[in-house]
Amino acid sequence: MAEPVYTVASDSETSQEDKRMPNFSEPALGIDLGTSQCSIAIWNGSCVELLKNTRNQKMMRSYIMFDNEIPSGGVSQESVHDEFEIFSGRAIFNMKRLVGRMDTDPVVHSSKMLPFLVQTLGIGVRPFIAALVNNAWRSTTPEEVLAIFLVELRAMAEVRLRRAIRNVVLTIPVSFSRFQQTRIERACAMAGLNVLRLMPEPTAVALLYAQQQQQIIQDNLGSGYEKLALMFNMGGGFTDVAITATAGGVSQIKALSGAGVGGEDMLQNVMRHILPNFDSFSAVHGVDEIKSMGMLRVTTQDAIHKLSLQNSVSLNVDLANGSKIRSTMTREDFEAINNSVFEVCKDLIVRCLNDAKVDAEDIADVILVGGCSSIPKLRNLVLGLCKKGKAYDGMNHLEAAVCGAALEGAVASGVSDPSGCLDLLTIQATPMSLGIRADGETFVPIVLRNTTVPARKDLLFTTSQENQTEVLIEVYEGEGNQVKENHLLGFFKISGIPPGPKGVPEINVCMDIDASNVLRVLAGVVLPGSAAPVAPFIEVRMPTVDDGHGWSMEALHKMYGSTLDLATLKKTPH
Amino acid sequence: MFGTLSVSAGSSLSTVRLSKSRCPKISSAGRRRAAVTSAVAGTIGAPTTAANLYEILQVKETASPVEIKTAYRSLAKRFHPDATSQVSDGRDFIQIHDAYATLSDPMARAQYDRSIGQSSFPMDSRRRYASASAWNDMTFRTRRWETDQCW
Repeated sequence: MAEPVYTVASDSETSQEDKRMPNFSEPALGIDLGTSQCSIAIWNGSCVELLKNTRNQKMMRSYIMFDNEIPSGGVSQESVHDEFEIFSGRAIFNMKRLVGRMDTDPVVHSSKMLPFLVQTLGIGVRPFIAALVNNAWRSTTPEEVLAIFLVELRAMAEVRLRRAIRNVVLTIPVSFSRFQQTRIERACAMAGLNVLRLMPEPTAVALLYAQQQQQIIQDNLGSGYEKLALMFNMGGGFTDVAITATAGGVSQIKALSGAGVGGEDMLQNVMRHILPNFDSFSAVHGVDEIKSMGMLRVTTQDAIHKLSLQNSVSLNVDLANGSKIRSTMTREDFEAINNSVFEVCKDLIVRCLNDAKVDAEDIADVILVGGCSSIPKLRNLVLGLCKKGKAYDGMNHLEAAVCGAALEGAVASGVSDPSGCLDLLTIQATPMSLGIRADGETFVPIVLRNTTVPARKDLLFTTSQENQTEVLIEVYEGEGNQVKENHLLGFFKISGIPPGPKGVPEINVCMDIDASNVLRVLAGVVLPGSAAPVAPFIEVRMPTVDDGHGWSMEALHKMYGSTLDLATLKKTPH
Repeated sequence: MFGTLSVSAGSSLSTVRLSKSRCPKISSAGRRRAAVTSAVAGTIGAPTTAANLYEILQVKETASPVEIKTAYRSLAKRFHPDATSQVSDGRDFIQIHDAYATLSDPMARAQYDRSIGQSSFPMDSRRRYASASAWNDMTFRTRRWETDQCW
């Protein structure tokens, strides 16, 4: 076949092309882009190496300072900006929590108390985010901030490795929707990076664990002997839990659960506790208020860190308006204030154990990672639920995820290691159910959560009206029974259904997830008793919607009502 | 008999194998559709290239759970799209996982063993005509439809 003379670059297709043909000669860079900190690592030919910036730091703070024409970030400027400058309104941070969220999202609303501008209108569009530059609010987007940061990371890696970096493996929270994942891919594309894999954080930790286990038991036991491990990861913005069965370098993810709850929530709870009028105070966003919020944030962060080591801490803050806060906080106070956060963590672990169908007694290792994993209450909670005396101590809790990402980067790039260190495989599972709207507003799952990927599943549906010739396939992601509780991923229409009584035409909806987690939905009409295709099937890569998800649903409902609705097909067994 | 499972999980034919390509083409949809209709009609057995689940995992029918796990993992390392850069001989990872999902669950395995049993099981004669008929997958799907593949 003749080579095409030119290619048309589009958002999705070029990245797809690259995914199929990665550059096999070099391992991809592993990136842990955290809410508050980030790090990068790479397979150096014999082991995973964390890369350091020019200030010899492995962990870099995730923020971008909008100082002058060229914004700069925590990778290159860490020592230049002190805490108070970062909280002065000029710097934007915590973007991982905001990326891909609409202004109706509670997480966006809680971000309004950050010391920069987050403006919401509550109508289901992206929030307005701005940094204070020369006494004016200058707008930006979460994707832009992440992209600037990724450019700095890329430049740092290119200097260290003396080669161009193109392919990366990023870790993401379990609770990231597919729409949020596209936003991360977008940020990478803006930074000139090609995403080889987006890996849920605890599965990256699981891969590192699989490698360590393989080295320990390589000679002792056959690969049929499997070890169950529970990974608990809590960082600044997210909490994730995973259960993996590991043997012979293969990590099979049995269950995943996650929520958008993290250290930032605890920080806000404590700030609210020591400054009761915190919410009205932080809503003002004057220069003085931002300065005060910044000082309060610095003191509170420091206090929370100290409470992991000592039983009480004193808080002294002088606010910009002259008022002073003098208070002490004990570890018990801290735990009581954040009880709701700990309850969420407990629910995530219980759900993960149930989904994996394993008993706590069967868990061999409990691995605690992430910035919040040193909080004593959390450690006790996780270990207690897993009935373990102590946690796995074979890995650094801040570096585990990025090391796992670097391992995956080497494995997915086809790098092999003569000593068998890279003889690894992660068999991933879907963190959320995928399905479509049918029977009114009901969400009918087709791929259930924790299904092993790659996966391909289908279900039959039928028409809901007499002589209906078209149906609308609305694809959602989530666990709610009603579609409105879930994320809309996209929609498309199937036409050319032969007119007939409702409930007779069969509409086959198939969902296909490939190894790089790309979701495709195939749908078409099947006539009972006929082998001839009614019309070509339609295949759609999801997600297709941009922002304003809620609007699409409303507009569709207004325009079509229930005329294009689907019903589940109730078949009698033969 | 089928409890609350009101949605029928249609075209369940183990004969349709996924090609290695990441991108399912319309041609495979066409094959799928043909398979769907024959399953729905339930009259003829599809061309039975359908391998026995034990054959898929390359284990004996008497294999222990540990042997089944070992076999699954070693096959996963060879056939998972992440683990192999070469084109496999058509034994797709999904099929391997599918076989493992059934054989690693004692209940599902017992049920499967009965369905492929040589004698004694009264449903056996039916199976000979439609090895992958709706009856057959319903039997498994009642219990295992979460991990079962619908094809």
